[in-house]
Amino acid sequence: MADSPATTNSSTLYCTFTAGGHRFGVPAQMVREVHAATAITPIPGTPRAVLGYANLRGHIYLVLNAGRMLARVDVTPSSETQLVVFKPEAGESFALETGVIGEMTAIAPHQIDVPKSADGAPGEMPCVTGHAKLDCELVTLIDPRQLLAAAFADTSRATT
Amino acid sequence: MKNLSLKSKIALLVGILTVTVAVVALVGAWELRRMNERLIELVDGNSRATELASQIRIKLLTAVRAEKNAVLSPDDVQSAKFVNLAQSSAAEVDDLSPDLRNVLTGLAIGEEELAEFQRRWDLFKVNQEEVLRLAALNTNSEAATLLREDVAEQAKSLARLLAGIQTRLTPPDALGPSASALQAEALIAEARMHVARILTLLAAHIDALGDAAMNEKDGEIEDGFTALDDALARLKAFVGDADRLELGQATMLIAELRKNSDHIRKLSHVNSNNMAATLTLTATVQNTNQCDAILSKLIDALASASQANRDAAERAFYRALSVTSGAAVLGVLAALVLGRLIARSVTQPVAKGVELAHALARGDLTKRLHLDQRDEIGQLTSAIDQAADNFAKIIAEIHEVAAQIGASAGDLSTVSHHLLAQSEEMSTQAGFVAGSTEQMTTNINTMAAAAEQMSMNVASISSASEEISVNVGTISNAASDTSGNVNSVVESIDDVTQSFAVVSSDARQGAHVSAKATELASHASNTMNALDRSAEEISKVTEMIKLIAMQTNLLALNATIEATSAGEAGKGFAVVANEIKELASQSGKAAEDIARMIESIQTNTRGAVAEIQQVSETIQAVNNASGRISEAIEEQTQVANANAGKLTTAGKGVGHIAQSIMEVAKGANDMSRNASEAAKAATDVSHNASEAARGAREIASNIRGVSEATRENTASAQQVNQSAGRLQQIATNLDRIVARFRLGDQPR
Repeated sequence: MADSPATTNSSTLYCTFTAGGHRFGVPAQMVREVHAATAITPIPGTPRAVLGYANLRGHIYLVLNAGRMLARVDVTPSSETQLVVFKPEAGESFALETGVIGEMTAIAPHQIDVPKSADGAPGEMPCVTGHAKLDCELVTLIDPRQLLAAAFADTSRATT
Repeated sequence: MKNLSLKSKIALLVGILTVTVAVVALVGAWELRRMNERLIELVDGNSRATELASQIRIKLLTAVRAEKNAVLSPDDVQSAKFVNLAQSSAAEVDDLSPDLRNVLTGLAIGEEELAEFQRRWDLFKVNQEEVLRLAALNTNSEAATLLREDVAEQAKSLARLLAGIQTRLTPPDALGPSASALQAEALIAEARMHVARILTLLAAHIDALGDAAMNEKDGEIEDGFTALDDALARLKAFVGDADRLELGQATMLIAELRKNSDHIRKLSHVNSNNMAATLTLTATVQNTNQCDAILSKLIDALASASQANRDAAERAFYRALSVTSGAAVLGVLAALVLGRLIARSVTQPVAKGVELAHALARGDLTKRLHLDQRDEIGQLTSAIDQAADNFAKIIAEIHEVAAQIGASAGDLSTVSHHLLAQSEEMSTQAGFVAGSTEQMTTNINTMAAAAEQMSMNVASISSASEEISVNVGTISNAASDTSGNVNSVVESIDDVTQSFAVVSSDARQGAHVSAKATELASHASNTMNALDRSAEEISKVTEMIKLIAMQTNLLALNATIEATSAGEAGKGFAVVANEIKELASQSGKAAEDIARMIESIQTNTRGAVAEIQQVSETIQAVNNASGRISEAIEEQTQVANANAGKLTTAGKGVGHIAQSIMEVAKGANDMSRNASEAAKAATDVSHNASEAARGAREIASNIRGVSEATRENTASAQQVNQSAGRLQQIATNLDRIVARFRLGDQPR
């Protein structure tokens, strides 16, 4: 890992994770902590991307499903499922259920391909800020501040 | 102060500086305005008034000088020019006076002096007018000119006339003047004297300043003229007719002289020059002095006012300078004090933060800032304290996890040691089993060979029996043969019996070995099961280790996140988090390697168990076959013994051959049948023995496989032991890493 600050020279540190077979990254400075998967209480009548509430050390967090939100697939929870809890600047008390959380990766601006339009590519989530071309893979960069709005903009409802 | 936000502190500092600058600017502007007013007053007022007063004074002196020149000027033209100059100068003074009045009115100073000056000036002008009028008249000069020119000429003419008369008084040829001549000369001399005296008196009259003197001179002049007339009258007596004309001319000349003298005296009486001079020297001087004094006083007053304004401006300047400097100094002092307070409120917490960061870098996680500040610095220090708390918790959890990993590694090492020992024991036992099985195989082969031999012997018995049965008719001839055959049959049966005994012994030994092999196989199976259970336990421990590695990885990620939030102070955290992550990764990989090895061990173990089971089943089958062989051999032995008994009875009962031939035939048939059955049994025995041998070979092969598996398990157990050792080493390294950090009161 490069130097500890969120930015290394001109690079920005991203916390990467997998969801639905794809790799995503969020700015590390917006992440509060990562947590192992825990019991989630479903909330009826919420969008599909909202899994429910989780109790982490006495605090209640709204949990969103990264697979449904970002990869548009249903991901079965497994032993590798983990939670990415965000800081209040990204949104109040919410977390993202992901697959395996990988390395903290420093990504330079020249490695990032920014979408041309404000809405990005057709069918792409508004919270996508760009795509980073790394050595072995493509990482989609996410703005956590728009996740809650994107989740509740989804009109489909969970069945439970 | 310490609870104000940085923005408020900076705003306060900027406010103080701004207020200071504003105060300085306002005071400066106010004082500068006052100074400007003073300067304007100084320049526009006092200077202007001083200039006007000076100009008036200059014009006054010019007028006075022109007046004097006009008085002194003998030439009327010159005098008139000076008169004009004096009048123009006076007019200029009159023109300047209103301006000066206006300026002084604006200044509110010198108004009384100006009024006094105006009064004095009016007197001066009146006096000057008189002086100039007198100067213009110029009577004294005119009189002097008349005296100097006309009267002098007339006097010279008179003197010539008298000289001529005097000359003619004494003829040239006379020896001397006559008495009348003398008297005439005396009269002429007297006349000359009177003329000279008149001229002198006229000059004195012109120069006389007062009427008294002039009147006195008038009397003397009249007396002089009277004396002159008298002298000429008396001279007439002494002159001839020739001279009487000249005398008459002289008388006429004297009359003109008298006229001129009267005119001179008249002009002298006017005395304009002297009066003008007197006025110039008295009233003009007085007025001039007074006007000049007033102007000087006025100029002095203006100078004083200018000085006062200058002093006031200077005071205003110094006051402004003092106030500005004081306000600036106060403001700067206040800003310095406030800046020092603000700097202290920032630098002290920052210094404490640096000290805390150094302590954290050294590994001392017990230190906290605990600053009672609610500003941004206080929030930052609170966040650092919280980050240090979280990091201490993380380190404590990592230490606990490392301890768990160490304990699990210890358990794994113990289990792996036990597994290794068991694998080695199993390998040894498998070796024993393999050896025993080899022995059993050899025995079974021997048994098979014996059974084959037995089969051959039985076959030969059968052949012999058949031959006996076929050769019944020739039994008698073959009694001896029969006896020999019987004997050979008996010997064969004895051999068979011995072979049966050997086979039975081998079968028993084989059964014993099979039983032992079964026992060993069962023991090996139990050991394999125990190995499998141990592998299960190891797998559980490995899963635990993987879980711990995953949790450690999570902790490392969280530590990295906390280090990111801490910024520069989190560099040390980030390095430690990276090392922990690497260790977690290594732990996970070691756990995965162990899991694969365990799985391989389990697969091999299960395979070994299955093979051992097959071995057991095969051994059981062999045992069953051996049992059947033993039973068959027992039966055959009994049958052989019975046959031997019968044959012995036959050998003894040759004589009862005939009777017994049937019985022998029957017996031979029975023997043949029995031999067939025995051959079949022997064949079965041989077949079973072959199968047993094949089974034993299979057992030996399986045992070799088990031994191979056991060796592989041993090798895997060694690898597990090594991995356990590495895991323990990893746990030790992790514990060493976290041991750098000091948590609570107890050093770690």
